[in-house]
Amino acid sequence: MSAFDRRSLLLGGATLLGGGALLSSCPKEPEHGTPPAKDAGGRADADADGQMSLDDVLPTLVAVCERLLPSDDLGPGVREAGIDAYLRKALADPRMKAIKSMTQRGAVWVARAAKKEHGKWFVELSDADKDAIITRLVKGEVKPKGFTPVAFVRVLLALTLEAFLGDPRHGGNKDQIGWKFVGGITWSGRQG
Amino acid sequence: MASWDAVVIGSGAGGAPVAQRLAAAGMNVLLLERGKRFTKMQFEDRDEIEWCRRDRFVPSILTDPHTRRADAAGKATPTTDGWISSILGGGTIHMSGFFLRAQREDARLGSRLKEQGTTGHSAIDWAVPFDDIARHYPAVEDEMGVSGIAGGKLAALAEHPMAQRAEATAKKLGLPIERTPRAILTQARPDDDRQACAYRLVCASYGCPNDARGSMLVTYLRRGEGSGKVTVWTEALVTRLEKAAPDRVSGVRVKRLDKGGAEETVTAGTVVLACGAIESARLLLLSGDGFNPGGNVGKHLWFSLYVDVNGWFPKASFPEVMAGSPFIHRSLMVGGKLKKDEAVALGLDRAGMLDLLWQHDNPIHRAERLAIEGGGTLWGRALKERIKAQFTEGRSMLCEGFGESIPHPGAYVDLDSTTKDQHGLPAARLTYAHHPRDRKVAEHLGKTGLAVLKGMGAQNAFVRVGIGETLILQGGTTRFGDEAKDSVTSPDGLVHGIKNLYVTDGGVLPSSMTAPGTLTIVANALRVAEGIVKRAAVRP
Repeated sequence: MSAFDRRSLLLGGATLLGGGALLSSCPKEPEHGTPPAKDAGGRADADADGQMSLDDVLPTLVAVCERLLPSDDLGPGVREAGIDAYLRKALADPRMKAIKSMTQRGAVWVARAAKKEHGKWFVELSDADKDAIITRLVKGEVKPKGFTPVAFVRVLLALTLEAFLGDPRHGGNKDQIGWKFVGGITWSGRQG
Repeated sequence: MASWDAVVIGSGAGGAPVAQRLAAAGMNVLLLERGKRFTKMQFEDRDEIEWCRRDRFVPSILTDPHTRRADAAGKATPTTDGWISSILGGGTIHMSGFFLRAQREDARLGSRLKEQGTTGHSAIDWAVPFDDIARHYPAVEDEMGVSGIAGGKLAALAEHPMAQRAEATAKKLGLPIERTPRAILTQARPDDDRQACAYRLVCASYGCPNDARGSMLVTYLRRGEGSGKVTVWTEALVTRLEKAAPDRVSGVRVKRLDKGGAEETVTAGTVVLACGAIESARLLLLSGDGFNPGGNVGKHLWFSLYVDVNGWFPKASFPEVMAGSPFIHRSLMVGGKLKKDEAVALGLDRAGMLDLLWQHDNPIHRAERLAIEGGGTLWGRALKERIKAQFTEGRSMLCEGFGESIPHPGAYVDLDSTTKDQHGLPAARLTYAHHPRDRKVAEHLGKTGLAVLKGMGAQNAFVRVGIGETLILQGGTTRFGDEAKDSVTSPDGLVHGIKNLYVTDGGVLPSSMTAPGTLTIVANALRVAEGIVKRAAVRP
């Protein structure tokens, strides 16, 4: 079933975060036997089940999102919109449990892939090297355990677009920077 | 133990009208809704993340999943597919409000397929005379406030200048075109505290803060509660139906989610089931074999066939696209009739209808679609460029197709023995695949939609969804018929073999029709309510 194979509720609904496609791409049980890994800026310890905490993986997730919607001469990107604060809040939402779990797995893989290939954490890589890793995920050229690479990128893409174009009350779209980028319309009813 | 003349389960298009009509006849009615009540003030909000992307209307896949598979051999995976809305007023709260009448031929699906020699289906004709339902259309249209009906009382909604281009193109292509009747008020109704449409930036998928949209909340429910004879319990989940005798339902078991999950039994002289085709079937199945006398509950499932064609209108060539009304407000081929030569070539007698609308303006949704259009994953600078262009240099128009989809043995709902909801109840499992005829219908709608958009001058026109399901337009699972061997309910709406249990949602309609069927669900609900009033002994 494609992501568009429904008249999503009713129109204008989420396509990248919704439905069983995402859930079925995340195993129910954590991948056991994963040793704790240290991510840049994070702590060395991990949860008992081998999962990294949100604080551990957040810098990596932020760095990926900043490449998915970069800051450049076209205008501000998701960094200026406040992706850090947005992710922290969004992933703490109990309704996002499955998504949080998947992004944590993905972030650990990305951090390790960077370390293995470049001897640096992902956040320390050049933009070109970061993009090369993301490209391999998007093209499915890697076979990580515990998550589907393209689904991981698409979920982060959805969160990135939420941080850029969503209502600022959720912590992103700082000063309506995303809405200004797309023409200056204020979408929230509460704000006029 | 509370006792009522009638208990209505579900507050959407099939439930609220019945509650109001029974109350108007003097019955004390309890209306049970598993979702919450939202206020007009809350509908002022246009927060896309909360309303459209975080299960505000539809239960969470984590707590209340359905499951879905393509065929009986497949593994069913969790999904939100099949939920319409879990909120007081149901899907009418945030619907687009396309209120088209069904056609007489829609009710003859069984005979028509026989005439065409189509096999592998389980379609039957409607056992209810079409006119018995159709005679309620004017009253429903009046109550809801349907605008845009030719010769109707309400003026049409303001429309976008591109509507004229659509008219000219349809004429050129020889396609019938008309205004789309919408359950949206164009004139205020002060007595009902309803304002006219304010043409907000986004409409469908959000509640209407003006009460211009004819939701159940501002029509039948408001009238019913106003009479003092309808009591509404929200966050009240019915977990099973109970019987006192083989042919009588005695009441329902209710879990009060707003009261810590406390359970109680509510007794009633009459019970009306209106939870939507999936959830009503699930509740009957959860209640045991005594509620499935002919073994047909959940079978004969249909979803209205859905096709989505997209076209881009750059403002450099079409300066008018950036301004004006959000509504294009035109439907083509209403009634589903085909030209003679097309019918012969396709081997079909009817297909469906098309309507024209702008792509939904939800910004995250728009950007997300750009990112995954064509099956790839666009990101980085390339995505930024596309977003900028898409939002500022033109507008995307959709030509949606709603087609006739036919019931067959491979389309049904049953209980999933392995997946349960947060209350420990088995989830509804959807097994759904299209009948081969559906593919011909979809192909025709897609091809015609493409011709319309290209004829209007669209650039990059393409069929986005070649064949899909409008999962919110669902039915068949409790269909009415003369006999228990191929139906669940009688023409009167009674579950076969049970004298006081009615079903009034879309599940009772045996065929998907060639247009969205919400108006017909309401009309049929009023028809059944009339019968209940005649039959039920009203307590003093």
